[in-house]
Amino acid sequence: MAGEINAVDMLAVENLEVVYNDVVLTLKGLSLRAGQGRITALLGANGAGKSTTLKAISGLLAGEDGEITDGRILYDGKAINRLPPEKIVRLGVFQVMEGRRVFEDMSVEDNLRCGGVTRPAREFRGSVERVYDYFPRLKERRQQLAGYMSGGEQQMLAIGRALMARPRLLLLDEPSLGLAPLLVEEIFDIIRRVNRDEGVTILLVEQNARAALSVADVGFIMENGRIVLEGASAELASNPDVQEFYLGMGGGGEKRRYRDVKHYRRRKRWLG
Amino acid sequence: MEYYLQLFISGLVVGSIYSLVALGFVIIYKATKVVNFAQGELVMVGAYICFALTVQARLPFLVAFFMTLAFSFILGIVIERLILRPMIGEPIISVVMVTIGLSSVLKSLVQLFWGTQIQVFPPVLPQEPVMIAGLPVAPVYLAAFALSVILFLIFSAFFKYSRLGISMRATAFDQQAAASMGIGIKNIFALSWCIAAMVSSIGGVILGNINGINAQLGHLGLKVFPAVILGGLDSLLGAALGGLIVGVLENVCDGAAKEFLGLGGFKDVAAFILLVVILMIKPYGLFGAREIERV
Repeated sequence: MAGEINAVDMLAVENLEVVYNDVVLTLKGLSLRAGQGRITALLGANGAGKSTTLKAISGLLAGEDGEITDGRILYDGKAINRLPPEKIVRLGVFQVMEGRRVFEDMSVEDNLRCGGVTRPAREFRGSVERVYDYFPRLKERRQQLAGYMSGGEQQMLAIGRALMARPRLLLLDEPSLGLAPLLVEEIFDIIRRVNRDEGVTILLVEQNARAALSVADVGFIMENGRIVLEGASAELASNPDVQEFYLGMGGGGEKRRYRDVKHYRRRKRWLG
Repeated sequence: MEYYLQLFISGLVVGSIYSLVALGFVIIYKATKVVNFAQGELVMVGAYICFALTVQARLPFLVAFFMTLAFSFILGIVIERLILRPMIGEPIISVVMVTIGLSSVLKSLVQLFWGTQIQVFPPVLPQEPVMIAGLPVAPVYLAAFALSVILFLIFSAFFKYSRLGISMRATAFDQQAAASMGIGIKNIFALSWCIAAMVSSIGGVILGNINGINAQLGHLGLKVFPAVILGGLDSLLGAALGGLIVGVLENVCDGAAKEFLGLGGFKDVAAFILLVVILMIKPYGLFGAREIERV
């Protein structure tokens, strides 16, 4: 397991502490790494601090009154935790935010143009065609307003917009949110292709642990602002605790009674 | 009939100045979602700067005009840096209050430097009226109208096709998402104030050439408000047409009220009556964007 994770780390988060509005401590000494060329999954329940972690990396915390009070974030060995988001994007780190956040009153192509603002203008045509290769449906709707598209199409647009910036490290926040199972599969297929064909390193935040572990090489599980478990995906998927709490299976694969689960939860908090 | 045609034409001219100022208003709103109550005072400051440069410093008009534009650009940056930037992330009502404060400060500064009497610009364009459709029209009126149309076309193209314009629209729609694309949203805010100050100062210079200027010029902002709401707060086309409609309407209504009712001073009311009526029928204004709701 150690050998799995200690490949070349593109991203290393060390003992990160984040406070919102000067009072609310959401990350309490979180550490994680994302190896170059890998897909790393960051899993956890609601409110564990997954999105906060991504926003801390991409520099978007300031927009919502969050602040890194301790620890550091190393990207290619250089600290980026004091840089504004526009600098971080230029270094090749791009976050696809939770909830898609497309610019609804703009056409698909103008949305893509926004994704590419940090790149030279002459790259635009080539980049757009590349995005349309991944998402032929976007090409059909290039002139349509993004607000009128379905949730799945908007998610494709959000990822396409990210590809326009030619990132080296892609931070994906809940790409499966609110999508039908078939679409989730399609989106994850594309995430895998982006990783394999473009060599983009991916840090994936998900509540859908099953889907996430199926594409990821390595996984981190966080709870209450810190990492409680880490390992190779296959290892995590077979861990009885993970199966119980994140994959909805009992230790032996049978269903568990609710009372037992509650008991377990209590125990788990103590461990966390 | 000729009386009303005259009123119509002067209404168009005044309206085109409203359009210009409304354009600045919409640009700030589009990019930053801030309703700027100091827009009229930006007009006034522009007019006085140009006045000082032409009359007091005796510079040629064109030189003074471009220096005024440069000054307004810098003024926009200063206002954004000093006053608006510390307000990022604060409730929108506080930001609006700050712009009201700004309007008082600007007005007082102008009175401090130039007093409150009416000041007159030296004539720049020839005084000889041009005949259009049998009616005499002053060249400065024509220039005002042409300038507004040109600026409107430039800005429409800017928001539609240029990267910077599209970035401004993105920032307006969702600041955080725009920041995640690598758009420097603070620069976008500053830029929108610069542009707004510049177009307003153009309006001020034109107005100064037509009527002369005094410290009440800032009240123009109040007239622009119905124009902007009428057209839809976030629509450039709406701002342009709203300005023209308000300009024409207040002139024609005023004339009609004088002729038939013997009432003066109807001018300032007409625009607001129209505003109420239109908002009852179209609450987003004539061209304002509705929020998209997917079903």
